[in-house]
Amino acid sequence: MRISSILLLLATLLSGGCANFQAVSEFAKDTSHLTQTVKQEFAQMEDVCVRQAEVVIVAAGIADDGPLKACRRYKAAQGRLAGVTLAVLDDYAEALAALAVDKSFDVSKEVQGVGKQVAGLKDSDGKPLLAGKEAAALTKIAEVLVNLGASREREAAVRRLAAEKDNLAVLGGLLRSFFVAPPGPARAPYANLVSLTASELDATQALLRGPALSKAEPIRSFELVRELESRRSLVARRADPGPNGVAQQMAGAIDAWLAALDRFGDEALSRDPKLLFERLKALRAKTAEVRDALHVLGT
Amino acid sequence: MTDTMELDAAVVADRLDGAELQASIDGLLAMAAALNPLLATETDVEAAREIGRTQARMRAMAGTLVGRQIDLIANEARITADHINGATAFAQEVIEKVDGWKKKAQKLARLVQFFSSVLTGDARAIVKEAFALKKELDAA
Repeated sequence: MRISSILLLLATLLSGGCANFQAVSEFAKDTSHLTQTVKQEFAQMEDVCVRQAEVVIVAAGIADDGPLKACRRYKAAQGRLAGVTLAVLDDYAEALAALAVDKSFDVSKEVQGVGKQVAGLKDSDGKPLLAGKEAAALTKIAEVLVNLGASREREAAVRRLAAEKDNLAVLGGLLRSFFVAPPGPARAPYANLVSLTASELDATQALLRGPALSKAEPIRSFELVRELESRRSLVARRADPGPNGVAQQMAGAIDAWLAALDRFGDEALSRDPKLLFERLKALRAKTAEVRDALHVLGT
Repeated sequence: MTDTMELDAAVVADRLDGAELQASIDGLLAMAAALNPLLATETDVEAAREIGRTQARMRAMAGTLVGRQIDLIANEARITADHINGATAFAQEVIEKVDGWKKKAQKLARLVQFFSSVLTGDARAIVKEAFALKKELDAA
């Protein structure tokens, strides 16, 4: 074998063996942006629910804190399920980000205990909130993350994470289903929460603006109406089921993430992950749209 | 909503799914919202607050049904989501034609009571409350 042939073979072997972690880093970053955006929205809706409940309790003279309990019930069930899903996706993104720069990674306590958490995800009647497939996907990814700590081989670890594409797609679908329901009569949990919030806002304003309370307690009624009014545009945009509404935009961003995930499985360590980068670009645009919408709404 | 019902017996695993009760959830919210115009004319503070509390109870019940899975008690009548949604639609149709806050409030209170029985999954209690609701809705 001639020297030039040996050098060419060596160069080929070296370039083939030197994985490109840029795609890993980008996918991790964009996944984190998406989960942060979803978390921000859940926190915002919880806050709106509680603030509005406090106003209706005062305005209608409700003795048993019923509206506040409704907010807590939602948080304890659907909110907790979303929280566990987001925690697993967050840790997944952090693990990828750490591997991309060859740093160590600690699995969060929440993800370490996912098995127990999934078993405890029940509604107020004690019924499981998760279907078997979704529970299995959550626990499988958590298990991979926990076991990843033992791996010293970066590329193998990334490949192991990328191989969880199907389970990650199940989690993406789960997250999407909070915002947009599949075709059928039922609405998504988010849509129902927004409907309840919008209905409460209208009714409380009608009560405070009505002749009874506006005459008996004019200053307090005026202040409370102003407080509610400040949330009107925020609730209206969220109640919009159309393409400019928050729910559809959020679903669009999750769809873009699922499309990127589909390529990540194949192109995670590719030297030229062209299609993956295109899809990540689309994901960034969609996430930015949602973030802009939430920002416009004053969050 | 008829006076008589013949239903199959429920078996273990028969349940009412919150997703199938979306029409009832929407109906409860619509009935609560339909009280808003009363607040524009009601001048008595306690009466206005009572309307507000009734609306809050209806919303709370609607919220309770979201995502709920109600197991039916086996060997009792198999109540379906269609029965519940039908009762809600009937109640909504009657209540929107009722004049006067007090009469509306009585019927709405009975409707909320009906849904409390639905949450138990006990067909005997549900049927009993359904007949009580029908009687209340038929009353002038």
